[in-house]
Amino acid sequence: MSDIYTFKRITSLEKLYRKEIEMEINAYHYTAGPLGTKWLESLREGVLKAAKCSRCGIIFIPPKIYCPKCFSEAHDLVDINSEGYIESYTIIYKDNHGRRLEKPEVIALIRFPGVFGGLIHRVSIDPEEIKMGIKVKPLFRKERRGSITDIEVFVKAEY
Amino acid sequence: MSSYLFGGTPLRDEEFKKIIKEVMKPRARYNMSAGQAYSVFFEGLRQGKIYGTYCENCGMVFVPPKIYCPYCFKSLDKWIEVKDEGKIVSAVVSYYSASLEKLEKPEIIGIIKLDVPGKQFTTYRFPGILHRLCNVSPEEVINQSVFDARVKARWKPPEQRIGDINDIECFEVLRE
Repeated sequence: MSDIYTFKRITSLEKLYRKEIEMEINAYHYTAGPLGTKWLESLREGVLKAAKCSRCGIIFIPPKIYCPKCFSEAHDLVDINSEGYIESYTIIYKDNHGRRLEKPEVIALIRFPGVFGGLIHRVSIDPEEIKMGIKVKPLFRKERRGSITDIEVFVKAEY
Repeated sequence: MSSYLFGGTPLRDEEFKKIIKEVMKPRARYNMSAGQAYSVFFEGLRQGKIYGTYCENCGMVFVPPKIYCPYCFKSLDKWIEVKDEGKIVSAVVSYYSASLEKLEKPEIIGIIKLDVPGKQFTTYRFPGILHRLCNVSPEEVINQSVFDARVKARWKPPEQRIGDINDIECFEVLRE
């Protein structure tokens, strides 16, 4: 017969064991769906496009396979004038970890004439100068991989 | 195109490789307390002993330890030392790691029923441990000849033990 022990209840935190566990996740791979993939392919080619509803004909961005107005299907992308304007903006002073950024960043909602919806993206305009209505255009990266970050930043459109 | 309406666009493996994807690798790290029972268990492993809790009501021994008896709903505070020897109840061969990479050498994991002097347990309720098996070949697991074999723990040297289940390197099958 084995001995029976009684151990004292652990009351100090130092004596409690702590385990660090890393979950065995490799990576998540997200696809953009039928229309989103076409749109990202056009971004990779350096063209900004928008989706067109096959029933009501509305042009909208970002592309989705359902029309945001009439809920019917959208299958096609159309070229748009990539010169947009700032509808709204916000200035960011801290990063994700709460550390102060060296240079504040400006994020804006950019709308395009005749297009429903808009894109939220970085804008390279000084926080002092920024205001609603400034005309902007996308600046594409040289090396593109088919992602929204293929547009590096939106810059002021020249006149 | 009506396939849109019925949820998703199926992709073949080669299509999935080619298509544009966003890849996100999360860093999911947990930092958790082992609690009252497991802290005693890990401290025991550091000293080269396997402890289990003992229910005075039904006589059951729990390894890994529980602080409540799931059969009698009694609070347990009595501990018993379990031997580091036992018997293989079941085993499995694993050809892939947890992150789905092919392993060079297949890993063999077994459920080990541990011995407690003076006590008998059924095949369904017993103090046991899930651990790697060494000196076992995959064929022995596939033809089930290794089941019921006697095993003994191979411990790490005392200075390398940190109070973790891996302080036991593996369980070795005792062969004559």
